[in-house]
Amino acid sequence: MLDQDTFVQKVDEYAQVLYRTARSMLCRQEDCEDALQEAVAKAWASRGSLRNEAYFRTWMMRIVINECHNIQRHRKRVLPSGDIEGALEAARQEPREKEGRILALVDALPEKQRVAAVLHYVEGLPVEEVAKALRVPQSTVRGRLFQARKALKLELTSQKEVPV
Amino acid sequence: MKLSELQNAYPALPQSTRQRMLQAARSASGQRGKARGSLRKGAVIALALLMALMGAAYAAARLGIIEYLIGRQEPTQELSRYAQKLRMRGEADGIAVTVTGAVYDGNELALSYEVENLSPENLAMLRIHSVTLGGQTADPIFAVMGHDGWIPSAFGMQELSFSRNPVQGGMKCKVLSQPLNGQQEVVIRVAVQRPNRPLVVVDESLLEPLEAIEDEVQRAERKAMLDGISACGVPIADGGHQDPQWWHDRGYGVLDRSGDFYWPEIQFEEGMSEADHDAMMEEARQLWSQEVHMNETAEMMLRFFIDADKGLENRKEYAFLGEGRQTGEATLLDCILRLKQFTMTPLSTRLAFDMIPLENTQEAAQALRGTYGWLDLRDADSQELAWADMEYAASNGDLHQDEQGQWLVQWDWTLPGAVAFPQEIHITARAGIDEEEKPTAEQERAFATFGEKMRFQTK
Repeated sequence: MLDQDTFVQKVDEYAQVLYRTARSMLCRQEDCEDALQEAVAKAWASRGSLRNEAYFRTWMMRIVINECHNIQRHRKRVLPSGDIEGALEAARQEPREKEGRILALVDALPEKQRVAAVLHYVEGLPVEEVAKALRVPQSTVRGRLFQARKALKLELTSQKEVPV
Repeated sequence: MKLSELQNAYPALPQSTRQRMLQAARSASGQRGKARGSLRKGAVIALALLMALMGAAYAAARLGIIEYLIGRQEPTQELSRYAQKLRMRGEADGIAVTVTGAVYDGNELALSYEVENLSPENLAMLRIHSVTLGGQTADPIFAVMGHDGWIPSAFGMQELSFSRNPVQGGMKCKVLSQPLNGQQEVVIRVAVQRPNRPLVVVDESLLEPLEAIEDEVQRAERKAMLDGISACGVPIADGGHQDPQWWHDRGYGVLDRSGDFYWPEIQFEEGMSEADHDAMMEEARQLWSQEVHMNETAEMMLRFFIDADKGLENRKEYAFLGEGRQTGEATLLDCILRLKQFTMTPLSTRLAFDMIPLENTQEAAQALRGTYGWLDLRDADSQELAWADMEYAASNGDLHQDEQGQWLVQWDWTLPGAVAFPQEIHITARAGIDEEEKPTAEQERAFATFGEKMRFQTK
């Protein structure tokens, strides 16, 4: 079972990916922090059920995702699900710095696509691990990534730049 | 948009957040009360999420059953009573599949299997066509073929593939029927598919030298990925042509680092609706059936029998402890609670009950939804139950009016399996499903009565 030092060390090691997981589901910074803090407490409380430390990251991501769902449910947060095209267009038109526009575009994606895209494209997690964390088939993750890629006009290998 | 632009634009972890996480980790592991005490009110309520499976581990969950069946993990006492060891082998087109174990609990069916490529120099992929139990459809919820290596696959397909030889894996299916009894036949139809053109992995991120990856974990993962690709015998395009279209135009089946096929024929549009997406997925399936990249070279049918009673006999059923044991009903402060089902197996837990308001109005039923909904399951020692899965199913809490005009609230939870089945289970309520504020004094009284009455014991 994880001892205290190892636990703290692993939380620190994966803090970035855990934060981005939360950030992809909750827009408000304070909600992200609440989710992460609570997830950390729950992870410690249930560390006995983590039978293989190699799975710590996926296991912890899953706890964070559940915690984000809790907060979403509590907040009755309305997720962009209807006029995605309109939201994307609005994000493009907003007068802000390029990075801000890109972030607005990502935030305009449906949550399922956004979470998959952030974990795979931003954090570089393999599809298999994203699928495990989200508890969906790998093919579903690929479908979401494909949609997100198209929506963002994301180029993975070509050097051609598409203005955002 | 370039990938690097996306990566640069997405917010990095603020230092203050990192510090708060570390503080939480230290407090939780050393002085747990302090971490809880510092939570904002909203988070404290969220913490009490009904049946949130705090004691669950994903790895133990999704893989737990499978890991046991394939012999990697010691079974729990409960699981060992359910599991059936099998040795059913099928072979087609140089691929051997052996089903090694099964668990059936009346709702779900878990199977483990071993796959061997008898001519490992020839890459092959497997695709599950269908699974039935006793002639009833069993929908795969998930299927895995190992979990630590690179596997080539195809976008949008529910296929399995393998890069190790032999590899072990498993699947879990939802059986779409009432619980079955006696000896029941399982029929699995699996297709063998082989590439009909040379494959190549085009992904410039794989060209980064391993030594250049500072993070130890990421470096290990990348090495495992490269080893997997190598084991499959699929070359990685190095330098020069990193445009998948270039390779595609020259007759290659192009894969990315995740083993995802490049499909230029499928064009998703911005803002595409779910329906349009489904239509596009169907188009992808048709393209797949046209065997653009893979040919279906054989189909294998595995047929064997399992003892459906083995699971059902060991399924734990719970009934009220005390006055409601015979009637299945409990009188609460504001309603009659009628228990419909409370069962536990290693694969799933089912809790269903109706709440009938004392005053027969829609408003009274609605008020019940506002009072109850966030529940905790604990054993007689007040310890939260340990689940074999991280996933939880939220209650529906549907308002319903029956044929006699009686308003009621229907609750029906399907939860993961429990690690152990306690003799006694106590359920407490914390808040209604839409509640944001602290419970009122009246609700607190209702919770107290609920906690007193909602005590269950195995039948």
